Amino acid sequence: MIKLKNLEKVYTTEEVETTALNSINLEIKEGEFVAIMGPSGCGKSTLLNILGLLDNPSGGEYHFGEHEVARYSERQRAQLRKGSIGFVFQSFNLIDELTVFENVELPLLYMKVPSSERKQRVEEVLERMNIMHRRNHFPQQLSGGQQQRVAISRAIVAKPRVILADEPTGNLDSANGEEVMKLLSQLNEEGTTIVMVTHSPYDANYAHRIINLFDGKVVTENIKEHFHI
Amino acid sequence: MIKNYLLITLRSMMKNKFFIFINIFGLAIGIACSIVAYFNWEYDHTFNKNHVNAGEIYRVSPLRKFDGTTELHTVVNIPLASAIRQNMPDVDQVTRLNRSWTNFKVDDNLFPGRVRYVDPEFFNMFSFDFIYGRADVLKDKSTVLISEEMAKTLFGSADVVGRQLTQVVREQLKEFTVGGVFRDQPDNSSFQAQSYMHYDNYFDDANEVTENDWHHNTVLFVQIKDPSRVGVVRQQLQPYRENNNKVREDFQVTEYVLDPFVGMAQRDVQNERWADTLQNSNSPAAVVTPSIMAVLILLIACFNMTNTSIAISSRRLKEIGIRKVMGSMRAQLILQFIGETLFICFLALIIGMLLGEVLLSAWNSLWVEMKLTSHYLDAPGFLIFMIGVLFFTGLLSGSYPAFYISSFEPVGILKGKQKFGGTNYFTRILLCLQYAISLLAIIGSFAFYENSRYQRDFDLGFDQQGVMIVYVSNGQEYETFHHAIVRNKDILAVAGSKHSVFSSRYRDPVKHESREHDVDIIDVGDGYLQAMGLTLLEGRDFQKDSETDRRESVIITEEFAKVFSWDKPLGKTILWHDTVKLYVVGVAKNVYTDGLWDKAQPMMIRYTAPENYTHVIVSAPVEKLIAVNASMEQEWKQIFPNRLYTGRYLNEEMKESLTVNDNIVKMFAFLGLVAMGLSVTGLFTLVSLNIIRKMKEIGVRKVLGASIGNIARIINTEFIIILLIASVAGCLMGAFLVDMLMSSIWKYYLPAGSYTFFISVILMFMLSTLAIGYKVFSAASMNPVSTLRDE
Repeated sequence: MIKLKNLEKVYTTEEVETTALNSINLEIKEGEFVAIMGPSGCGKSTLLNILGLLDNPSGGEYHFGEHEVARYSERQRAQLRKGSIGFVFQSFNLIDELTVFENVELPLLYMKVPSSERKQRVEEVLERMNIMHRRNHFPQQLSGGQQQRVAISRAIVAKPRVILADEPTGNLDSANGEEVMKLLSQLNEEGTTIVMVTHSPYDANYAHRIINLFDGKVVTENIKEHFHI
Repeated sequence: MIKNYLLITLRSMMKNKFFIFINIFGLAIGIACSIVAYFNWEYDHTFNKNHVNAGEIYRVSPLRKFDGTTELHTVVNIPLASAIRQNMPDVDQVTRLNRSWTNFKVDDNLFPGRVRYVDPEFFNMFSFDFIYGRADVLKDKSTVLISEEMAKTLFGSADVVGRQLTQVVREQLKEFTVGGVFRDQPDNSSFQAQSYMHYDNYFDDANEVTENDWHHNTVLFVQIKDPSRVGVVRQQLQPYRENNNKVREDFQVTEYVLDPFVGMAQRDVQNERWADTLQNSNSPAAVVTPSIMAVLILLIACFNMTNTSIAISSRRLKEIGIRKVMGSMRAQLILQFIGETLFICFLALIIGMLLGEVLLSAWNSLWVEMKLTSHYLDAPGFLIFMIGVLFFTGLLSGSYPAFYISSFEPVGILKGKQKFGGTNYFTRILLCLQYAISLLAIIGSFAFYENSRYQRDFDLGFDQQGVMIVYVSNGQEYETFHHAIVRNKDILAVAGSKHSVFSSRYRDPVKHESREHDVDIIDVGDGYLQAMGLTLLEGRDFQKDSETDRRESVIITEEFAKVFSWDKPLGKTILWHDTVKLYVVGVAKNVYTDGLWDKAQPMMIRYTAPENYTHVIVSAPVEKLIAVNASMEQEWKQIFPNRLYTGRYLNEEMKESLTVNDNIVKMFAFLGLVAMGLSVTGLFTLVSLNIIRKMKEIGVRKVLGASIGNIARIINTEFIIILLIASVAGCLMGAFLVDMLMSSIWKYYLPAGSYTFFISVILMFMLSTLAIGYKVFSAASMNPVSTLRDE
């Protein structure tokens, strides 16, 4: 589903050229749960941003499904992003001025889903995430765990092919973190591909495959035995 | 999606109530000023538009070349009207128009009234709306047509056709029947008189004027329906120059022209030879000033809105990032943010329209003759104007933030790496412009205030404060009234005259050797100079009852001596009417006959006999003038029971000048207050934004030992430079605008001085320091640990 060939990302400032990703070759299959690990500054987030079509690589190939998207314009990336990719962030990134319902509804608005269908899908997801009773609350009125559940609801409401999660438990205590990881696992079991960046070996354990990055390169790949594609 | 945008707009507005309030309030005031400016412009633009035949009507006006310039005069010889009627078939209708002040009497009550003498065609040419009666009854010389307002004043009702009215002309009583009552003309019509009579009454009322006498003048209108014949009529008028030039040596007409009625009122107000028989439009300064104010306030409000929008948007970076991640296109974000600004503008528009009503009534209270009324729905021009203002404001203040913030990459925003710009060149320029405009307004209010003090104390060459004039019909009446009042011990002096400075004078050319100039002339009696407080600089006053002085002596003003370039004017001879030789026996200080509006004209004073007196000049101590006036009014009622008392204080004439000045002070003070309020908010916003951006730097510097003063300097330096640049720009613009306005209103005024600029700049700095002082101090004295932890 995702295929990277010799992918590179170089940041250039006036004086310094920094290689964030160096010749990355990677394949992620439909239904996989992949964790990306590595020390700070190794390029984890850069990789996730490129996978999420938020950024373009400097070189190499990126195949998303049947599309080669490495040279896509911002407009093309935005078009492909909506509906195909869901995002979950460490700091939740909910819009403070919108209620839980309205936050979750947002991706469907950009997909121009009709109003009645929007309502039905949002309610389904909120029920499922066990947050329906908070539908009219604003993000500041929720606990961290609840906010992340809303963020996950928002990520899955459009039924994306892949969810990209950037340290989804980083801002949560262990109980809430556990709950979020269970939710992601459950989603994966139902067929959603998940790519997660994490510092936590415990969280990485939920994944089928762990990719370790160091200085912008893939150094090791650990595949868990019980996972069969 | 629109609902989503609306929700987020409203909720983020609620989170930034203070800034949103300031913005909406600022814009609303700008829009309210625009409303006043629009209706003020409309008043001028639609002047005389109520007259449906306006496009076919022309005023016959003479051109005269004199002193190397061509003057357009507004009155022509009375007999020209009959000549046109008889000999110019292309002219469809003709009317003459003269005026007088008169008294009307109903039962035992007396009322003042403005009368116009017109030919019956007048009401076919100009549009009057008759509520009762008809205009064509004016053919009857003993019929009078009156306004609704006058009918109600005289009779208490408008339905008064057939009622009797007595006109009091000097000692005569003339009976009239009311033939029609017309709706009052709009304020912006040239015809504001309350009563109209057949023109023949003019010959009865005005002494010595006859129908065929080319010496006397009238306002003369013609209607020519076929525009292609206008040139022909103009040609046909020219032979009549000879009729005038033969009898008016002193006023040689070079050409008769057909001055279009459309735009006449606007042209007249700028014409020095304008005779105020007709209502004039406003001076260009009165039309332009509110527009300038509206544009300036609107600009400041927009700049403020742009700066605060950028500042507020910094709190919405996350939303922008998320929307982009969710698949929003940049164009959608731009539309969203411009839409939000337009929404704020729309709210401001509604509030502005309400405020506009308040401002309009405040504006109306400033002026006596002009009453503006708002009419929103029946004015498509106004609607287009308001929609234009809305879009102009929304796009101007919304575009930059929309384009600026929508350009950020979501990755940077969501990672918290995207720092908002703080100040940049654009926001700095906007702030600088805001301050320059505010300073301009402050300078304007101080300058006009200083000018009003200067003009109040201006020496007009005569005693403005302690003098009254009472008008009588002839020398005999003067004698009777003089005899009655002279017993009053509070009166310092009483003098008689035929004319007087400010009330009446005539103008003739006089010659000395080869030089000829037009001069103002007044004929006065014994003791006039002393009673009016004129100062004799050299020579002597007229000798009592001296026939020689009456025949050939004149007292001139300094300006008179100046235009003839005389160093020693005493004994100089001048030729008047080409035949009368006059000798200068005295020189008086300049007399500003037109107040400070126009240049002091050269003037000569002649000595006249008591039988010609029509003015009673009364001088009294200022504090007793009111009591003196009251006692004179008592005497008047005893002596002339059929006529209204005509006394007036001389300083009333100066009031208009001072009122105009005070009104402009009020306008600038208002502009200054609003502009400064908005600019200070703008400064506060930018300083707050800069402090947020520099938190880490401030923290690090504090850890390294910087004092509060050091930190305050780091934050303030940039803004002090902005304010200094704004001071220079504001002073330059202020000096230019104040001088432009003052010179377009007065000939004598006090230009803005260095004190005005100094105090204005100091005030601006003080207000700014007050506004940001606390913010800067609290940032500078903050515990560095907290800021560094945040970073």
